Amino acid sequence: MSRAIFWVSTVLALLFLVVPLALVMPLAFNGSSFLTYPMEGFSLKWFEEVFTEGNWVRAFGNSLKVALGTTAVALVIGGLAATGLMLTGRWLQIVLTGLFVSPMIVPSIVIGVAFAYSFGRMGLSGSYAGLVLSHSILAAPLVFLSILTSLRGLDPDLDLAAASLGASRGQRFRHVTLPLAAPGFAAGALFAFTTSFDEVVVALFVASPDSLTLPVALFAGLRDRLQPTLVVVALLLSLISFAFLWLMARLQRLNAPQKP
Amino acid sequence: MAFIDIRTIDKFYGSFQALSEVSLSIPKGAFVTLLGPSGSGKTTLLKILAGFEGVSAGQILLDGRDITALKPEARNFGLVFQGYALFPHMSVFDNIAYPLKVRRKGRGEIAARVEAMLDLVQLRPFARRKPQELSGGQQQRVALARALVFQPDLLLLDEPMSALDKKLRVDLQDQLRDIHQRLGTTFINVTHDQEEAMHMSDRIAVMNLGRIEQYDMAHTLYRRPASRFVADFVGKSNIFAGTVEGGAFATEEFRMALPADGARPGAAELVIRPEDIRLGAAVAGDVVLAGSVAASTYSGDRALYSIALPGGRVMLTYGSARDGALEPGAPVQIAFDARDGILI
Repeated sequence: MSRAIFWVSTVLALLFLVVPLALVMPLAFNGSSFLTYPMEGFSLKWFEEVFTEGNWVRAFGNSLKVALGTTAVALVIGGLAATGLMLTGRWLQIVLTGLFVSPMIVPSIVIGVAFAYSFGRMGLSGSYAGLVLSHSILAAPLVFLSILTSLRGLDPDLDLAAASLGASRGQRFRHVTLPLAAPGFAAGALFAFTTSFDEVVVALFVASPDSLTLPVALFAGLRDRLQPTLVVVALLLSLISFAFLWLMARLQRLNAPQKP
Repeated sequence: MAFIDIRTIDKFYGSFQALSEVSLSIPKGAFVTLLGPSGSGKTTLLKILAGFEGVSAGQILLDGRDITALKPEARNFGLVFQGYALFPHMSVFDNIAYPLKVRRKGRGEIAARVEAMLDLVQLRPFARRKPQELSGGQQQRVALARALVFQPDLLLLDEPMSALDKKLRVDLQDQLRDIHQRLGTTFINVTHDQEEAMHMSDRIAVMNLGRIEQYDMAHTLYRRPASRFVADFVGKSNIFAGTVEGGAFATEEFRMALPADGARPGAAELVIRPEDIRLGAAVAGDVVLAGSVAASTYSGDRALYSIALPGGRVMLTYGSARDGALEPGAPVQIAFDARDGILI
């Protein structure tokens, strides 16, 4: 009996989550220009349109640039924060963790408004740097947490051992801490990249028509002209996210058998 | 002059005093063991020597130079950790080479010195392995090689044998003593295992509650304990509380004349080691007591007996066990020479 309940609820939950997505995806190959069933023939022309039309390609390029920039900036901020935190006392650690994680708790619309306003005054609004900075604020807590988890998992004796063997603080970080916590840094980088790559709310406030990112272009397209190109873009975005998810799972498996 | 001079060190953690007025002077090339139960402060003292912890008062001199405030990386002391703390992402070779790399030695010199160390600890075939592919004893020897390869002024060992099984422990103790003799480096070992301490060290500092109770050679510690704690902690012992008056020691069970005069009258304790007690035989002049076997522990070469005296107290002694141990309840006579008693 309980097995039956388990399977029924699992199947229902999966249907609820997967069916809407699965139903939309085939429309990318629709022959007609409407987002409706039944499909009128199979065609790859919408893929061709996405890859040849300047707007989509530019938006994809923007997203990629912003995501890479965000990864770099968030990795430095989050990495420094996590590494520094490990050197402080217990109470300070609790307070600082709360502060570093706070961007995750503040609603992103509030962050969006705050950046739109302050970047406007600083002349950064609509710029590449503005987008990267605002996305970095969103991504840094994720990087911080994943690196912190990694650092906490290290045997503290390793750092002491390296010190007793004559290694300075910088040498210890480069030779011992960084290589052993590398999976945490890599996971943090992936988090930062995906956070930025599919972020809509803050980008809506900060991006200009020139620095439009892919999710924002998708959002705008939804209002302008409802076409299978949108589904093609959504499909491509999902595939990229899946690829990252898979990479992350690989990294976690690498991270596991570190301790002797 | 002492090579390492520890001068009246106090260490507080909050209001808890982990060390009080600890002083120790260690000659160059010695093998000294800090022996004590957990919480005695021995590990705290080791951490202070390594530079991981500061002192609340006092100082440490190395060859007359004050090193109390020196960072661990500037001390040039080798340290073998309880859990070995080998770098899991480096091979055995790279682990041992690490202290030479941070000292910016040439590639050729590093290779030569690491290989010499690998030979010393008999691990040359394992140079390319990762530490986690080695057994506990092998990892231990890698840790030792890594801590010695840069020719430290001092080698600190933090309970290096505690994770190993007994037979391996004895083998490694022999090896460690051998390496100490060959290199002539000053060793300071921390342990709670008194057999290990006696087996390896030139001198032992027995610690209790943040103080050094006695600092002596193993033999002196055993035969001339300075306090009841040392008598009890180092080796097995029978301790009688009693009084000294008129050149004799009196306790509930017996009264005996003290061989040497100079014992201060008043309350005192008498220590008798189990091996000084004769079971079922007495020599003229012995203190003789009657009792019965309460329990026996047979260990092949001999048996350890607990003998219950009529007053209720229990004494430990060894007996031959060639024909099997005595049965519990068997009446026995025990005797000892007053000269073997240790008055503290």
